[in-house]
Amino acid sequence: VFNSELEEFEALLKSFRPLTPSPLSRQLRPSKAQVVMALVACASVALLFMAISLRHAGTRLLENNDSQNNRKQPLAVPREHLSDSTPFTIGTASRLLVAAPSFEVALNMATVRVKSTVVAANETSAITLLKAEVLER
Amino acid sequence: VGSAGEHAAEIGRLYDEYGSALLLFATTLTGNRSMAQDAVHQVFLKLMEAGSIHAVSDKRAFLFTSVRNLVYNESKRWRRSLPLENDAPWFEPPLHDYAGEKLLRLALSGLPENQREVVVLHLWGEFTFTDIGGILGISENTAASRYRYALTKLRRSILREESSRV
Repeated sequence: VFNSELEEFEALLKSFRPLTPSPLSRQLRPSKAQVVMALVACASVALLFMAISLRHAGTRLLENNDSQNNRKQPLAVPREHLSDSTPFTIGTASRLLVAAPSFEVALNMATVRVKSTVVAANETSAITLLKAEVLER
Repeated sequence: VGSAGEHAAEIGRLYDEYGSALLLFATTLTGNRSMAQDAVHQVFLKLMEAGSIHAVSDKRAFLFTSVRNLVYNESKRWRRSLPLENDAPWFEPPLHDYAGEKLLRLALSGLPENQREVVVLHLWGEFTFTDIGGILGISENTAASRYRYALTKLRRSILREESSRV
């Protein structure tokens, strides 16, 4: 049974108002699903980056190997370009330049080829003929 | 986007309407205003993340029950990590009666927890004893009887303290 004293006391207690809480932060915390999705996205980007990096590194390695091989084996050119039986014309020189890894190598090969040209005993070289003509004049 | 905005607005309205009573309820359960504030914020943030509160029929009862559950679930951790506060006010007193506020706070703290819950829910949460029974998992009569005991104790305690000061 509630008496008037308790009712008055109840009214007195109600006059004390609870303090207002601090404002609620409107910024939402990311949910678990959002965190997982973000992690998956980060992992995907990282994997993609790694794949691209590895691909680049592989290409550079191959290029390095190629250039090293070229340096180590500067005469790794098809044998046909070195054959003494093939006449040394503008066409063969052009093919030699295409096949050679560098201009320097092509020049060396041409030099080697020219040096390796041997004039047969019953033939006369063009230089010898020219020299004779000059002497006759 | 519109429904998300409506949901946020609904949460904001509930916070404005029941935030104070929820904070007091959580404070009387934890004895620490910071913990209580944290509990109330956590409940509302979880509600925001849930995306919708339309399915909840009695939102006020749901909020008080959620705060109570959260406090009990987290109480072990909180009791280890945070000190109890004795001097932080719980109320805005009428006519700047800060001495009265302290008396009321101490008297409330002196009540058994099950009685204190009922007093706060009925006086400041404005719940009926039927509602309180639903929140606390007790019968309406038990809630009403706890309230009467508690109110009588509070009155005696405050009168005793006032008379001892005079």
